[in-house]
Amino acid sequence: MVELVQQHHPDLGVTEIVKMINIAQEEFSQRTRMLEKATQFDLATNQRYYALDESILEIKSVDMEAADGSTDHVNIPKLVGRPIRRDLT
Amino acid sequence: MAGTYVDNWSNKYATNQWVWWTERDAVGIAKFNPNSEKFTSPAADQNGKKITLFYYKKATAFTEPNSNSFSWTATSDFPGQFHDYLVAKAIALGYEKKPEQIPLAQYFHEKFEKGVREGRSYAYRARAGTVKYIKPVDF
Repeated sequence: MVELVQQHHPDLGVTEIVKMINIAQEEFSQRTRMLEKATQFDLATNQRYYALDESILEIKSVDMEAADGSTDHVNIPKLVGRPIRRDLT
Repeated sequence: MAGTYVDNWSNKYATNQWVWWTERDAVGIAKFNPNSEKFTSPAADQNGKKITLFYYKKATAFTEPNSNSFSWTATSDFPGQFHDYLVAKAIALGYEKKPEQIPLAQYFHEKFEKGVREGRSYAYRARAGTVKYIKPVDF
């Protein structure tokens, strides 16, 4: 990809071209929502908030491990808005 | 009964349920009781329970070259048919730096926009190959 850009801009350095390709990739990701992935983490006692990785654009859905000891994961609904009483933990 | 539904975590009838929301670059998870409007954080019983997030992600950025190395073989996360559009955007950004070549920048920006439209269509179909047909209706 860098060579293709260099054909039009032979005066630009590789670092600058890589930065421009990264800008293009970020805009393409945001506007097409083409790339999807899943990740897992563990709940912790009394912890309400879990930091999101920088690569996450938008959460589609959330599953939670079932309480009955099975390997089932149950979809949990998204809250509209946020809790009335705020808890920062 | 109002306010009573299947608890999505314990699979029993209950008046509260687990919910999620986003705030301050984090995902919040708590049990919501609609009667008292109270949210309860995970207790010791839920410690270690797995949460799975399904999400749309950014493409992995290419590493900028340094004095030691640069990977000429690194590839984009996007399918190959969209790489040309990414190149078009980078070319457009390059032409924008030269005022006399703004028309060329516009041409490559338009090419990128075409790629965005195709990309949205591709993402919408989710590789299933089918296109949802929405029948127009007159009101």
